[in-house]
Amino acid sequence: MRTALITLGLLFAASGALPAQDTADPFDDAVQKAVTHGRYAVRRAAAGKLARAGDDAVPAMRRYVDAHGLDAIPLELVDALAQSDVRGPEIEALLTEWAGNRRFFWRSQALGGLARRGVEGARPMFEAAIGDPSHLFRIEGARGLLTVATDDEEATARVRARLGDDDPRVRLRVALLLLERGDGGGARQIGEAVFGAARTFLDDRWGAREATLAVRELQRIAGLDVAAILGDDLDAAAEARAVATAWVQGAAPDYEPPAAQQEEPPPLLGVEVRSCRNGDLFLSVFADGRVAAGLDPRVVVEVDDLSRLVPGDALDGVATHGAIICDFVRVYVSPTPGEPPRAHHKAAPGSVPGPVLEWLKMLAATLDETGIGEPLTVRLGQFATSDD
Amino acid sequence: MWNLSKSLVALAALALPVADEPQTVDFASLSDFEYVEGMELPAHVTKLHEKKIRISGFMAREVQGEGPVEYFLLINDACGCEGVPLLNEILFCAMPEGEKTEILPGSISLVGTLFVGEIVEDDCVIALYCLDVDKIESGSRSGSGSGS
Repeated sequence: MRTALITLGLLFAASGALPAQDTADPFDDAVQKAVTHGRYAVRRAAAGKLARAGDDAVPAMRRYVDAHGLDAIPLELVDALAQSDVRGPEIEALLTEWAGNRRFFWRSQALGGLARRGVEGARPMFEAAIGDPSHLFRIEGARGLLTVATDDEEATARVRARLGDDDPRVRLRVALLLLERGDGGGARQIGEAVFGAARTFLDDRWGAREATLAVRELQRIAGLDVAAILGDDLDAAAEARAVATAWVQGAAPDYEPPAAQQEEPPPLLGVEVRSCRNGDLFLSVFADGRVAAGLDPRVVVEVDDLSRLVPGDALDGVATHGAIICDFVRVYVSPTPGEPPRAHHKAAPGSVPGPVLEWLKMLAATLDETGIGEPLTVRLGQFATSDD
Repeated sequence: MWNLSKSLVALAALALPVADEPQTVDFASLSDFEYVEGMELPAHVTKLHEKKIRISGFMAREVQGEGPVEYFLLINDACGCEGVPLLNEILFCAMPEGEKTEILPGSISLVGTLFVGEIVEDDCVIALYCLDVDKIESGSRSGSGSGS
């Protein structure tokens, strides 16, 4: 098996980069491993060790950040700290700093760590987060408020309001957070995900991921066995659909699931901006002139002349540009809807090729009066330079 | 009778998958169990061991960097920042001997031979699913896309 050879090159490549530390702190080695090891699983295991150590591991992590910068800290480490329930003033202070740093890629995960621990002092952050441009931050804000403000009706109402969030990922996760607390107020939003497996954006079948999450959580939280909805057995799927429909209608009697899963017509071109700082942006342009915003496309304008929007062949090619840590912009142009793209670029901040960036600016200017031009321009500001 | 037998054989042949035709697999089935180190893996995944499969997902690097790679991860997360994938949500992929690939944008399909089982290094399970890649099928809206 060729994959057995993966190890050697990566391990040696990574181990050479380890700077010596003038300290006897036993957690320095774990931090080094959690950040620099060539193996994903080893990084995760080391991160878990740090998370379990709590306050004791914080000085070593701070030393590493001082020496290498915050951007060196990988998602695996922050996620391990966030998922842990180990409490302590040092670890909570570290997570508070990270969650409050808009430039930190993994600030949402850090906020999630405060939310899961129910850190009372972070309540103002949770309240602010629930209106943040980043969908992940809004979700963690909701989690935090539901944890620290359980008896506060106003806070709970603010969380419930996110059931109407523009982003379907937020709607589902807030609904699940409420369900976890015995509140079925988001049943309709859970139904939206369960019955929305066919939803796509460009080549990404994101609806299937949301449906899988919704089905799994319905099983875990509500004890509802509806997994067959996603399977190939049509009879079992129909039975499971009936069970899920009845469950949703128990909370929302007027709810009717979509009659059948129908794939949306694929767009001619699309732009995807993932930004943990400024929030994600999704833009689809369809062959009939509809321009839609959002992961779940909402038409914002219809244009008569698509030639104003479709880029020329200067963009043709398929490539990833720069080292993508978290945020990226993706441009996708099909020759005809549904066909493999003639232009497909994914780029890190500061690495967007000139013609792609110029076309994106043109697109933002063309859509200036639709409400989507300005958000796109704001996000392009992040990608125009490497100062991300 | 002879003609009937021949017809039945022909029908049976049509119904059977062609020997080299890869089996389509998705992340939902690979990750629909809670993995615990050392556990006996479910039969529906162990039966895929050394089988030729086709699977869709998103390419990612195991370590940060740029340029073509010989090894990469296949995950079921378009962004890569919504959470940390579990070991049963990752395929550790190796390109054919001597070949490299760019990390392609968007969803891709891979065809290759899947190896199922814990790989342990330094007392740490580093992989459950490894794929020897035969070919990368970059394309729009390909594959099942379902998963965790």
